Amino acid sequence: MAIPAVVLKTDPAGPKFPISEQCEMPEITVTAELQNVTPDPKVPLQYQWKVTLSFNGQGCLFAPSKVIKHDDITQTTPTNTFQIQFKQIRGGSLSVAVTVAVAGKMLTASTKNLQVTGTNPSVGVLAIAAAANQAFRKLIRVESGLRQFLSDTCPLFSGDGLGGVGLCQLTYPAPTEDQIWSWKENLKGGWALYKQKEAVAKAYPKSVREGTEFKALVKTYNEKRQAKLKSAAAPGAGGAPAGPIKDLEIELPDYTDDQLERDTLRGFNGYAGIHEYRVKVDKDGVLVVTEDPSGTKGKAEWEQVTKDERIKFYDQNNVAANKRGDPNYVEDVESKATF
Amino acid sequence: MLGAHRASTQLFLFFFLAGFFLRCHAATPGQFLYVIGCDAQVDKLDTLAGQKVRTYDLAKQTGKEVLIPVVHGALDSCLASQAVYDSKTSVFSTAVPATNDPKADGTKDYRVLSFSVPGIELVKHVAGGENMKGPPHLELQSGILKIQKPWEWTPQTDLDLGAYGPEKKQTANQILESSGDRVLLRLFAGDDKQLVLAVADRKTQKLVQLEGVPSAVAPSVHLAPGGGYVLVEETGSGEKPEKTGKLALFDGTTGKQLKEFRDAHIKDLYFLAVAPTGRAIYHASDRYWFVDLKIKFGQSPVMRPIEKGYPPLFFAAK
Repeated sequence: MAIPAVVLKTDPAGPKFPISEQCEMPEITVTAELQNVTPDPKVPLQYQWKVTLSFNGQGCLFAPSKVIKHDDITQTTPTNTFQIQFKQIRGGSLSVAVTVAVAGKMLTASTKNLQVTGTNPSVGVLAIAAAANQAFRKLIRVESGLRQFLSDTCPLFSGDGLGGVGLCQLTYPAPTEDQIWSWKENLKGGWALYKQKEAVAKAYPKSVREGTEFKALVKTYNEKRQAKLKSAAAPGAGGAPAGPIKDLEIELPDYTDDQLERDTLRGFNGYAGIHEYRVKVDKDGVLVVTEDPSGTKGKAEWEQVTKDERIKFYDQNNVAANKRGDPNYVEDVESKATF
Repeated sequence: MLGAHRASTQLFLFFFLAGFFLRCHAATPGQFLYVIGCDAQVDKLDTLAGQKVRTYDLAKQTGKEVLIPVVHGALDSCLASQAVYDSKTSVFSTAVPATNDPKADGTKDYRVLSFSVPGIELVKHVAGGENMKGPPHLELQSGILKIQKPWEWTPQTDLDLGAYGPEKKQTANQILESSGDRVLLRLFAGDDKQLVLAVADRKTQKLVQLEGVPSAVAPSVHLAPGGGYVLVEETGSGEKPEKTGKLALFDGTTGKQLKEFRDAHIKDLYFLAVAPTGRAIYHASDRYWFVDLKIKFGQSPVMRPIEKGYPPLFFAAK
């Protein structure tokens, strides 16, 4: 006599169930088929379902050693079919178990080797979803090559082993589980971080203007200027205005849009102690100023820190190699095509 | 009587040996240079032996408390700013951010940590200010560490030379460095292309101009500890002049050149400090190079109005 059993079947059949390109979890219907047993029609059956979905990073390059789980789903149904209602965007190993009491017997079954997998967005889909900011879009190319997933079973983790993940390679703050499996959440997190860095970059010129160093530079510039003007005014030197020479009012402008964008990109990668721009000084460390024709005002300049100058700064200040970020990051981003 | 003689001989021997022992192990002032990197790694250098002897990670020297952010990727700002050393208590203090990433408004909170020397163990930590755009300014005033908000502090950038002999002329100038009573100045004249250097003595109110200074730029001129000597790194010309490898040492009291050195290594390295033991120390990141200037200097630390381009550092006897 054959042994009573329950067998599970999924629709679609699997074993891989992809998260859609639009970050929707797969629709999976599970059917429990009773075999070798006829239930009593007077006794209603109760199918107890349990769904687990977890990702432990095994087999995925540079994945952090932690388990990412969808909350377990448990449900009891009077019929033998069950549509899984996922509440979070997660991938990994999927297991569905069912228990049903039939004719005084407790029958159980569970699925094997099922997986919920990831789908990278196409460039077209990404272009619709991403903020209409060219720098941010290029940045995504540098960070991930527009990929959330390295393969359908593995999110794209950063090669430095620091747990950066997905389209925007979110690293700090540590990416959420949603940002690991949903490219839309990753994109949202990346844009929020970009805007945060933009705010920091925007505030930077003011903080430099009000800082001790800039004030000292202005003072020294005026000292030097006074000496030059006095020398020119000295008897026999050709003459110049007599009387006291007023200090020049020196303005340090806000960033231009381009400068703001570049400093934001630098911040995204990590300033490591030095912004993308610094106040321009000459070889003797004296402020470079363009004086206006009236001789009462002047304008200081921002100077972009080149890759070589950045490395020099790191070397001078003993910034360890693994704490420097990419000295050429801004140029790398700018050289990329947008989408 | 014999016993008393023996006792006094033993006492003499004890003090003789103790004195000998102490002399042999007497610390050489300023022998050790502590360099605090942007990532809060401290390199201890023996300037006599001409080598790095140890590296400490300040983040791991704070006991159970995490007082310095542990950063695995790129830094936002430096994790240690300034190093103020109190030689009387053998303690140095430094300012550290509470977090690597800034708050939404770009500010950070800071702490001031004090560590023992040479053990590099945390002895004290205090708040260094909240919601600040940069680290606080630390200064030792009469043995007490003063913590100032960045905007509360203004460095002196020039000297009023009206009272300084022999000329007693109010020449426009810029303080490059100072040590003790001596101040290394750049004097501004009509010709702004010429680098004119002088040492002013605040105590004697005397100004000594350096004579025959080789081609150099202001950032490549350095006062030795104590302020008695000036080391000039010769540079080429142009917008971004390169170092030639030639060093000239000037007597700050006479303005005359005393010695000249050539060392090709320094061309590709960054000047770090002149040690009281007579070594000029260069580096690129944590690679160090020592040039023996064959002269001992004073102890007073060298200060700059703005410590830009240099990692925080200090000299200690141990």
